[in-house]
Amino acid sequence: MSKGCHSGHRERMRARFLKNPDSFADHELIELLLFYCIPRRNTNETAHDLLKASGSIGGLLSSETADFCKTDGIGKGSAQFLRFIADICCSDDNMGQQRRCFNALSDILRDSPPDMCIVMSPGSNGLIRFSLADVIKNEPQMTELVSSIMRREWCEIIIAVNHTGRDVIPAKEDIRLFRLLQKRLSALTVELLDFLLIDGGSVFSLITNEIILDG
Amino acid sequence: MDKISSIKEKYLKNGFDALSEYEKIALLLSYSDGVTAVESAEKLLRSYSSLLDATNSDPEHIMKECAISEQSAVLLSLISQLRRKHGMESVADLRLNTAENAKRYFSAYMKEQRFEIFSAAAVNNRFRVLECRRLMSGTFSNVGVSIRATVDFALKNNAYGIVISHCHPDCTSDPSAADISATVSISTALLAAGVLLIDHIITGIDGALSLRQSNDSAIFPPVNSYKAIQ
Repeated sequence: MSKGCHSGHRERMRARFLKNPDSFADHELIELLLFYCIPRRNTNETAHDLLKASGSIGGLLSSETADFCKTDGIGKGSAQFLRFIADICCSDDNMGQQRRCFNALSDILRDSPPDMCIVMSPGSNGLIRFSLADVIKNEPQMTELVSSIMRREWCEIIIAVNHTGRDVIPAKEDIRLFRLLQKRLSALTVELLDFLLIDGGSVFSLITNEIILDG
Repeated sequence: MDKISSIKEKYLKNGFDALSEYEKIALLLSYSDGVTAVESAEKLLRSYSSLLDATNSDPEHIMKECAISEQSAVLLSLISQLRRKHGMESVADLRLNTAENAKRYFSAYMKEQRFEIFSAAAVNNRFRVLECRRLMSGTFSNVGVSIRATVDFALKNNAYGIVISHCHPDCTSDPSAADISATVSISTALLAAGVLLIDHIITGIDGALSLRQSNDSAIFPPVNSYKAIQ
């Protein structure tokens, strides 16, 4: 017996999505998503109903499990799945972002002078470059560095110190700079997300290892 | 109780933040891979630092390198697409008549993109976006720029102008010599078809850069009502 024109519909949708995800309208994305919690039934109409009830993808992602259950065709299991997807979609990728920052900083520092430091704010434009020795020894340079961060309106920053060719073992100057900046930035409500010593693929985080430094 | 059931119970009882990255991936893949979800989660975590890191990856790469099923690769990529659509809702009505707006628009479009893609937005003479589409995908370092695809896209939309964009997922937005050379080729080809190349936005780990704004306005045709300088 023929399965009709809908035979292979899900496979075709997946293949089309892999080829060009941007060609999918909002309701098609939800239809595709529903394949994973509604095994056999046609999910097109349910996808339309869900979007109509929530207004948009954003509305859908902020809906609660009970809200999903109000739509015909969505049972408790499907509603829990949709809420789980919404939780994933609304979460922050801190780990991935830190890894990408590390890769970028590592590339920039590779060809920089030995005591070059970089300040960046994840997701914001621009970098601030400064010499570790200059900032530690000259108060005006330290003030200028902090002012530069404030002028850019950065609330969260990462600082990387070039340790290329040296081990990523914190030197006295690294710890001194870390402490000085930590104190000043904290007073200005700028969060120091990380303070990294980078040597190619090796990295040492003074934030993660702060207890060792104190010890 | 099997592993997935206990993770699900933990999620329902304690919420999403109580789950480890491994548990999040395993629970997600239980909807696509069933009994092999735990094994697939372990494979993914060998290559990616987090669930979202995996969702932002090239699905073809995930299938090949991590031996993950097509169903799972689509589910992971679907999450990335939903996040992008959600992010784009705040910029959907933005007119791309300034470099700042174009940067904002493509920053949302390219958010957390893990592999290089090349996209274009076709705009009308009021700089409203007619369509924004991914024209090419690449892996990490090179996006093959198809001049023909860009011109076809512009003509199909009967566009007044095109804003192109590509992302540097793991480095800064600084343009390479190849980026500039490809921009010149696209601009020349579009102009021959009567369409203006308005700007080229490059997004990187440090934010977005407008090539017209940065200093390379000489490679673009003049567009009077486009404000490149703040």
